[in-house]
Amino acid sequence: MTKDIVIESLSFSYGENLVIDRFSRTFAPGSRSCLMGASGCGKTTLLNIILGLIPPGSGTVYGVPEKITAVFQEDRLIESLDAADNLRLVTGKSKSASEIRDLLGLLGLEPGQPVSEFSGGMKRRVAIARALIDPGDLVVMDEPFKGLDEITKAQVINVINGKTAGKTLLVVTHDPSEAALLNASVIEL
Amino acid sequence: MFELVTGGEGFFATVGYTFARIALGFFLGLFAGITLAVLAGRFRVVEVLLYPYMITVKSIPVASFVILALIWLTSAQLASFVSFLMVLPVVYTNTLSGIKAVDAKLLEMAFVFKVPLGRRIKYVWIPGIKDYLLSACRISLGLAWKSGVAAELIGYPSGSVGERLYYSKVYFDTVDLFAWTAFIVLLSFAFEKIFMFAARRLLK
Repeated sequence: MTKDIVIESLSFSYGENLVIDRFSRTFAPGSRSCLMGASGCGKTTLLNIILGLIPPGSGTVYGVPEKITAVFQEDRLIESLDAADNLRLVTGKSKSASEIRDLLGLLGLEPGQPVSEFSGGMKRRVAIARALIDPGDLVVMDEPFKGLDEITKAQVINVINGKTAGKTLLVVTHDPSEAALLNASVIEL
Repeated sequence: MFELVTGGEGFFATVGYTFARIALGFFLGLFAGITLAVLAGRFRVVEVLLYPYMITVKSIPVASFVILALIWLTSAQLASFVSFLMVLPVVYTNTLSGIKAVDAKLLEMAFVFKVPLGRRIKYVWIPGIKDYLLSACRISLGLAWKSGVAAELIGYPSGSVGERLYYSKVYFDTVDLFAWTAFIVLLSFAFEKIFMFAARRLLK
């Protein structure tokens, strides 16, 4: 049973530069939210704190589920592996080859091609597929549609909506229309 | 060279004696170097504590180690001991550099997705460290042979290549000297090629 993710009076600064100032918010299980705000306002930092990658400066974050999947700001793929093996790296044997192939197919990708031969947009879709093949109770995405054209973006959003139904979704974006397509509430930072 | 091989003076036993000891020293140095580098990469205090030792080991001449080894150990263990000491800092330093160069972003990804340790090692750590480790092996293989034979020359353990080189010096037998030197080069070259091939396959 997943609980609320609660952020209480969270502040964080890089040296003298305060990027998050006493931010509080509760994310209910299954909620869908888009974090928006100007560059450098602390969106990625907030995600990294939720993911446990950096400790909060002050304040508390609790209720973060054990199982999280993420699309990072960078693709963070193993370039020497093909798309399917990048997904297998995180799923192990819990997902069959056909499940992996089907998901990659939905995103317009070939499973056997080495990631190093992919374009930027294709790599982005592999990174998205990795977060969706066995979605966590919390799915975090940091600017997931970077480098995707409008048609591909619409396809990808459909897949995301289908795969993250019932999961807590937290997406960083600069485009309000993406929030609408993801059926997500907007949080201004 | 042909006479040495067919001369019936225990050529293969001599070569085998030296080869086994240098190979042992090399593998021990490789194992210890990787283990210590992993510990130093994980615990900063280990790196700080090992730093002066590694600098010292790198700087001390082979001859000093040989004399020390002759006091502490038997001459039969000389080549292994000296090869070990030559290989250790090279493998340690390179492997630690590789560990530090591993892509932190990939490690974070593996952390978030809770990728099991085995898969992390295979897909994140080994690809990051591989080139550093292979380079260390290539350098230290040559070093192990040169230092191991030099140690035997000083300690001349019975039945070793070093002992045969020592007799070449004593009798001014340049033919023997060149023949043995050529064999050492060939052996070192063959060992390096076979080992590097196996290592590349293993780390693929």
